[in-house]
Amino acid sequence: MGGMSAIIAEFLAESVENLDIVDQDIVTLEKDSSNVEVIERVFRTIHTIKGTCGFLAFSKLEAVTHSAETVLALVRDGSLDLTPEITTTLLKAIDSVREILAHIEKDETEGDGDYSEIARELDAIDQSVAKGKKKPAPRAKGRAADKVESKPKPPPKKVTRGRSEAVTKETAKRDLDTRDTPTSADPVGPTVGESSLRVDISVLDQLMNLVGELVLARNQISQNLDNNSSLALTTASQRLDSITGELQEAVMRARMQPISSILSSLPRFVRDLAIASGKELTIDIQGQETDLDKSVLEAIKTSLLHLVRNAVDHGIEAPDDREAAGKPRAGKITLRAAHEGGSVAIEVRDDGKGLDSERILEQAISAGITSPEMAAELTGSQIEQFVFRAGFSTAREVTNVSGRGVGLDVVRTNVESIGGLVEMQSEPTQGTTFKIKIPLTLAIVSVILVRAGGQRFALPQASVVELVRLGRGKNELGIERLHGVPVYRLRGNLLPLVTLSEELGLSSSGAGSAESIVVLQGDSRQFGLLVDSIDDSQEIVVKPLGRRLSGLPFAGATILGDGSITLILDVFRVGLAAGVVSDGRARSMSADPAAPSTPAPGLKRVLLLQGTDDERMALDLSRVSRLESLDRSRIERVGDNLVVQYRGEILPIIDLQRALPERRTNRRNEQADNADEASVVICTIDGRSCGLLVHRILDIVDANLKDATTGSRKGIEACSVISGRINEIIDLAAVIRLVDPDFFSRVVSTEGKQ
Amino acid sequence: MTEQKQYCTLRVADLLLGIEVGEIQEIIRDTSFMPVPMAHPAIRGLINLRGQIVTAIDLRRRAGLATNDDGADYMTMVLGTAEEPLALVVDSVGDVVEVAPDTFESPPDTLRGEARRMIDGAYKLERELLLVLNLRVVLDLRSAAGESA
Repeated sequence: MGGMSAIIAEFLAESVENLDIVDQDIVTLEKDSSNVEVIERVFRTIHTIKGTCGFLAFSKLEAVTHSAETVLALVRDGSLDLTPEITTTLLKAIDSVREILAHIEKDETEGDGDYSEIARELDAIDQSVAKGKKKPAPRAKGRAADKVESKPKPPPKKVTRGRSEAVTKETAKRDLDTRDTPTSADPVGPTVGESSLRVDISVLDQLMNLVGELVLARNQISQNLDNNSSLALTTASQRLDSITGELQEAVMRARMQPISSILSSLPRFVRDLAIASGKELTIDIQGQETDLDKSVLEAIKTSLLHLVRNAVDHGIEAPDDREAAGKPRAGKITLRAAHEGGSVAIEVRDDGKGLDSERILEQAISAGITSPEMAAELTGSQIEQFVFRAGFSTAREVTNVSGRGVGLDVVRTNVESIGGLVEMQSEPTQGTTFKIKIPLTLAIVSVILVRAGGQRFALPQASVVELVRLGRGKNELGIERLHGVPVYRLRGNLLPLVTLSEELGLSSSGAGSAESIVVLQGDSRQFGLLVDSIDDSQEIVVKPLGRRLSGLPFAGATILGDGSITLILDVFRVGLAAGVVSDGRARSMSADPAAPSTPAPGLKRVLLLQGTDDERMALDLSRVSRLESLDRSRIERVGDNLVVQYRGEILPIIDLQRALPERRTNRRNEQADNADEASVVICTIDGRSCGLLVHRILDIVDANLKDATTGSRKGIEACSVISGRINEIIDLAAVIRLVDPDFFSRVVSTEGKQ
Repeated sequence: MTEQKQYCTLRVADLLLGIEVGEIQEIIRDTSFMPVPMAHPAIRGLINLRGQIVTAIDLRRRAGLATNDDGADYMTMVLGTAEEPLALVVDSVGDVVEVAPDTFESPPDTLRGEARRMIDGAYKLERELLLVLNLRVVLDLRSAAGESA
């Protein structure tokens, strides 16, 4: 706050906080202007600001607040009902006050904005009442109240939610009164009393660090205690131990704030939206007392506002449409926050029309995200995922409220950047629900500690699905190598494996030393991380890594109890680097190719193959019926052609490498050729089957083949960049013709049994 | 007019280097480094400085000089002015010297490669040259080739 005088700083902090409450209160009053406690509180807040700024010589602010106060006095005396117009004028006045306050915060002046207009509007209201009644009694009464109240011109006190004690009592009473009215969105319940204190967040951060240090010091002491230590020392150490623990907890609690602190502006926000959009709205906020770390709260605030705005603009129908659909005229937005395990779930639900799949699809096609052909195969939830894409909007025109297409994708990015996730459910005509799940705190994460390559790493518990301990030798279902990729058969599904030490370039005795698999959720796909051992689970304090260490697969670092530093792995990036998570949209490689799995919209699911020269090729997965690992000796030669007896039939085999015209002399991968096992992709084309002998099967991914370029050799349909590498897309029919020109004209005799 | 400048001297291999005293927060011995896999080769690791995690850059590796034996002595200089906690690992730290700006010269031609880029210039001391480190270059790992020498 620079050189700002302490009194102004406190005046600002107090006023800004109180204005948020005033916003809500005015909205409440609009519905029930006879609520005496509420009107008293609004009146008092405005009055306090007016009084203090007279004292600090902010004349513009004083003028606006004075006029607003006059109108409020009329409302208080019952001589004026709060019509929507008057409410709007009052809210506008509050906004002006905010504006001036913001200016004061900037440079301690009121700025050169002209606020006489709003003062005139307020005065006009006042005069119309005076004219109507002629009797200036209410005015006089208001003045009298002024005199009484201006006496203790409260200097801004160091009181959070800074209200005078009288008001606090009233709040408590009012809370009891209004608890059952769903629209009363009072964020500051009686839980926050006059005993609270305003503390700079940096002080809390510092406290947090110091407590961390204390924990380390404590650990060092307890480690150095032994049987020879005196009883007194041992007892003292035990006391130190428990006190440190409690202190740590208390400091963490101090950083927590009820979610209401960011929701206080919502009722006003919704009211403004309702007026702007011509819709009728009510908002119901539940679970306001849910505590969240301050930094998390700040991070999700805009996302929540956006979701509410989105619900109003896209979800809630116009009042007449709602009536026609048999719904109440006023749309209802429900915001519910609750603890769910170690995280907090916040739901924003509307009872509007739900997502319009057809409109989304139409929009997606015109934006080139998907094609009409692909669109036909999309499932409802896949279509709904489009709304999370950047630049996507179904609003027919850009309005003030929304429709610019920068929205849900930003929400998703923001939430994911703090380790949370966004889910959406939509029910036609019933409404849409967005659910944000976020960690309780950014600072503290629960992790499991693993060892790999002689080093210790932390894995965020949130991304760990399960832990698997590999039985030494006796377990026949150990790690297999399927087409050169290590996999683990986990309840019938093939789990691709990544050896952590190899991935990080650490020396290790190979995968053989690995004892455990940590099954991780990398975006939508699971993979297994092979580690030497799993040590422990722990709550840790995340510390950021420096800029010089960005781009590495680490999400941060932490200091453990023994003072050692441990790196926290970024699960998604580890998977990405290892190639087991491919842009995050593919599903787990299923052992059963018949398993229904459709590609993400706009993408084609392809099988990635590796040639002997390390070149990549891709094959349309719809052609593939099975992936087989066959004993090389089973492949027989009949004339010029290779065949294999497969499921009681003779299956022609095409060696992909030999079939494709060579571009240059290949150094053939001897190792692969000499391997006992051969990777064969069983394909079906025109109702006939054949096997493609490939060097290695890499993965199944969803690829965008739209921007593919034409292939440069026969048998190749196109070239496209998939997972960061150039892939040749195989034209299966052309490859078969290269080897066996008569394949398609021969009588169908080897039809594959599907 | 000519203000005396104070430099903290340090040694890396056979070079006598200087960093302005104001840049240095503290000097510590016997630090243990937590290596960071896949990081820039000049990064020796992370150190725990009273609960703060500091990225330590090995000046030998940074300058493309031969790395020391494992048992060799080293000292860690924590820098106070960087935008994030950073430290330099050097062979040894010497005295603070005061120099007159008018003895400042361009770096000697014998310096080559990465080391040359990291030196602003030299002061002639009684017995040898004090090479002034340009911290901005030293700490900028993006342009550094690492152990390319």
